[in-house]
Amino acid sequence: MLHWRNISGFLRTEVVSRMKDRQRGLAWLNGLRASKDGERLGVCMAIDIHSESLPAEIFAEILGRVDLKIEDSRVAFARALEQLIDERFNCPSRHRVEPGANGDRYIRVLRMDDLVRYFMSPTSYELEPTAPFEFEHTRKKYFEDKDQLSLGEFDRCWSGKRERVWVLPRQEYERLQAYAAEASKALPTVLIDALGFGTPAGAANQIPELVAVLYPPEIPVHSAQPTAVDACWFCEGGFYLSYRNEDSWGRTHSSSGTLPPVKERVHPKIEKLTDEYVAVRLGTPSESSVDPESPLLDAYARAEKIWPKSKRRARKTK
Amino acid sequence: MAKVKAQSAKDQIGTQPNPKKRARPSAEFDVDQWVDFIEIALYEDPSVLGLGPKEEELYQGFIRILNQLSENPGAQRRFGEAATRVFESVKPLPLYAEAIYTLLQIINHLTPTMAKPLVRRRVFERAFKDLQFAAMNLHSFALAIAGRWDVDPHLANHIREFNEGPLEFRDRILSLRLLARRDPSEAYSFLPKVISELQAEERVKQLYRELRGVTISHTYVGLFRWYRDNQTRLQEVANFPLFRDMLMHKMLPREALSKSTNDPYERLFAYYLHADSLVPAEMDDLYDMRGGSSAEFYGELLSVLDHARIRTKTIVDDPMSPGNMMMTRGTPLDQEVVKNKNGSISVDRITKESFLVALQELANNEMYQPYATN
Repeated sequence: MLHWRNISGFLRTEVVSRMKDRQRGLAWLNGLRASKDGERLGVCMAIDIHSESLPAEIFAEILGRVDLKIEDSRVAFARALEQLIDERFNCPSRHRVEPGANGDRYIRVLRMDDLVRYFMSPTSYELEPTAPFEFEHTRKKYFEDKDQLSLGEFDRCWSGKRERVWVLPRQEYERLQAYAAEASKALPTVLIDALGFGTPAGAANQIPELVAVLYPPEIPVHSAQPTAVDACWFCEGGFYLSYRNEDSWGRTHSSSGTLPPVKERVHPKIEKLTDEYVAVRLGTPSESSVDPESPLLDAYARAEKIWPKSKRRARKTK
Repeated sequence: MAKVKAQSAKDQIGTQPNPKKRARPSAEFDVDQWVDFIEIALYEDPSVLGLGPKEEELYQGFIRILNQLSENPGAQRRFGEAATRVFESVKPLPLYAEAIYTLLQIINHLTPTMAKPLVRRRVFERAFKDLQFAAMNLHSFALAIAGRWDVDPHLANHIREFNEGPLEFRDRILSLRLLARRDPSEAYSFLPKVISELQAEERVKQLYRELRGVTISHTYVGLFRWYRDNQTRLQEVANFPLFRDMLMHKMLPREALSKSTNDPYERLFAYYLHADSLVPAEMDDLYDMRGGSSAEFYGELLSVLDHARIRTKTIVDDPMSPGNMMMTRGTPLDQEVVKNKNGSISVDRITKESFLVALQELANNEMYQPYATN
């Protein structure tokens, strides 16, 4: 069985040893486990390196920028990562699909207020709705009486500060649809759980409805298996987990810890969408349970599967 | 030496006491405590916001905290005052673009009264004109937020001045929205400027969206009247055909003639736009819209009828053309036939009283002398 000492030893050997300022790396690593969710970050880094998603050097470069004045190692990592928004750090996994590859059709799941923030605000300074009547106005204005909206009219978009978009394959979406129907559950509720969205709380004291953006078969940017570099580490309570190299897809961890993982990828921002990208209203999710402990257990289980037995023994004997 | 360094570095972790950080957000916070909290989250440690795993924007964490205060108006007010104070102190520099964006988003959600003069001042000063964040120019974003309160003559003047020079199309659309908030007629007066810049298909769709938003809030009455009264002048505006096509095919397509709507002007405008291609059932339907309407609406309906007559005249003049069939009324009126003879209307075998009354009124109205009933 893997332990933190295996993980930290591996990171020391593979990452810290490659740093110019090793003391900085060691200091950071020594504080990592004390940070809430820091252990999950460490395991994810180890999985990414072991599965050859990322070279250890990329983490060495990030750690070279951590500010040791930040008392929380996980937050320090997030801060350092924030300074490294460039191509090398944007969806950087080696397990990737090149632009224009005709393959799996993607689906992006987001909330209605995200749709406003990422597409409508950059296009026309539409403000995010803050009250139920404003949500209704936005829905009528853009979706009219329909459930679908083609996104070609939005000639600018934003993908968040880190310009990263998370998607799942259409087959997985359809599988979740079938599961929701079979289990007599609402699809939005199943989605936020399966995709690890956490609790569905939203702005304006109400839960905004979910929207799925259906992609065309080809997209103009590369997409890749997610890594720890793609995830957000600012706050505790996340559900991101890295995954081994199996099929160039990552795997989600469900918020409740009860649903099976779903394939996921990330891609950098697409400058301009076309009408082939269609947003579909899904409805409002209801409250669902969250298990904050399960991600770490699953992280170790994932690492266990790729950890060389010899290395495990070696660590243990030490 | 390395060991010493390591020890020194290690010591630094967790040994930077920051008393402010220990305070978790609480409904009991006074304004100063909220100011401290907001500044820490913006400039030092965003993790205090407890952002969700898929929420990467700082303001979303603030909004979540605000929601937790929703049952405590006093706490929300103190938070709003604190956000305003932080906003007042932030320098308009690229370094603080994210902080300004975040504070504007908070103000958007709370619209605290004390923020109004400050946001407007920043807008009038164009303090953020060189700042970008979230694929937006922050001056325009602040202008959008300023419009959350009333768009008074001062702000409206600023919007007009803002539009004097070359601007991005999205700024024109924003200006249209804000002017409509003040008075829809101001927005319609501004429309030719927007229409003249309709080049790409996306722009046509964007204008459509904005006009749709205006009509949801203010009905179609103003747009209809503006279009009817300015149609001749509008022909001179560059790209007017694109605008007209947008109205006819996207905003008020033929289906809008029979649309079930609470806004009679939506259908009336649709009839006006499609006046030259009405089929008998549609003409009948247009007449039927008189029932229960106000005198004002009735007068406007007559003007649409007149417009339709002018539009159909050339078609109807040729009895052999398909246009003649368009004026042949269908079974609901028991094969009534409306013919146009040298600009007049003839009606045979009238069986529907309302139709007869309508035509009689038309005949009695001097404005509609070209109509005559046989």
